[in-house]
Amino acid sequence: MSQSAERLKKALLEAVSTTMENMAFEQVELIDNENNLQEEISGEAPADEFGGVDEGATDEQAENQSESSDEAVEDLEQTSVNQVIQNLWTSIAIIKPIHGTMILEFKCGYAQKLTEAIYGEIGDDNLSASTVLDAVAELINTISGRFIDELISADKEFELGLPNTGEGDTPEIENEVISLLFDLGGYTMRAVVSGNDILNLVSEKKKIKENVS
Amino acid sequence: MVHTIIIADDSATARMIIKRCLEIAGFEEAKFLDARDGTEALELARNNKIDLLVTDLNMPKMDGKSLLKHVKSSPKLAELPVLVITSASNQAKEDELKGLGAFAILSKPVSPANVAEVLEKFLNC
Repeated sequence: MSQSAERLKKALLEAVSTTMENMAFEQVELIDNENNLQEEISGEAPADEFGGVDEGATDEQAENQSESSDEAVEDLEQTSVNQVIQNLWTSIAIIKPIHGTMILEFKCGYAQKLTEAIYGEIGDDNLSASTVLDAVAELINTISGRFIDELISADKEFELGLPNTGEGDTPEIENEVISLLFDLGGYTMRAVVSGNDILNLVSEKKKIKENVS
Repeated sequence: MVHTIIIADDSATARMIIKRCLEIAGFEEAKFLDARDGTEALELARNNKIDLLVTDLNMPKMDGKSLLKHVKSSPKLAELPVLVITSASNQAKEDELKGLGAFAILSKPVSPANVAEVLEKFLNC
């Protein structure tokens, strides 16, 4: 595995495990360490189906994408918790200093299990679909922040979009640079980061470190 | 003394976690007011006697940075302590927010221990 791939993997693993430990009081285990880093990708990353923004997108365009996603979330909130939580994905756009997208994919009830862990004693009867959606959105918000913080230097600002959440199978992911699969008591969660810019970010930080040393 | 604390975050999950951390950190008797964005938080701050404002940065309608600016430029609210809890924070952002008047900035995920640490400073003010 290349140094860039190793750095991305380490940053994502740290972000997921720290967040899970603090929010859900759960230890996560990496069950798939296959790294999908695409070192040789060239060309611009198009906007993908997760609400990520392309490199030329304005703040207004990013906001509009977020608004359309809000409508989708409202639809989801009308359905029962059992329908929603089987397969669920959530995504967040990384806006600054690079453009990319992080996606978390929950299968077979993991989102509900996770929400129960975050909320503590809450029973199934009290767990609404909107609570599950909100919990996974907060989860990706926190994980993505920690992930980018791991990759950029302390003097560089970063900005994230608002989370989007969807039901069912995860849409096709373009320009995937890393994908890790985690286990929590038999349930699985996949974390994916897409966007060619992410690779530039890793290379840039590497250059800074080399210059310092 | 019973403190009144506004928690501004668009996520109900985040508000619940922050409230739980504050309670464990010694504010179990506090009265908590929920705000889903900066506009709601500002409204609550203007209409209630508030001891502490805890806010996220990334919120719809009015974000945490705008909220902080509004609070610190208001003669009535300028002295209100503002604690920022955000997922998008690093040293550059912390310096900027402190320059705008935030008394502390915490990165998500927060724990009762790091909330207690910064609020000890707040209680000693």
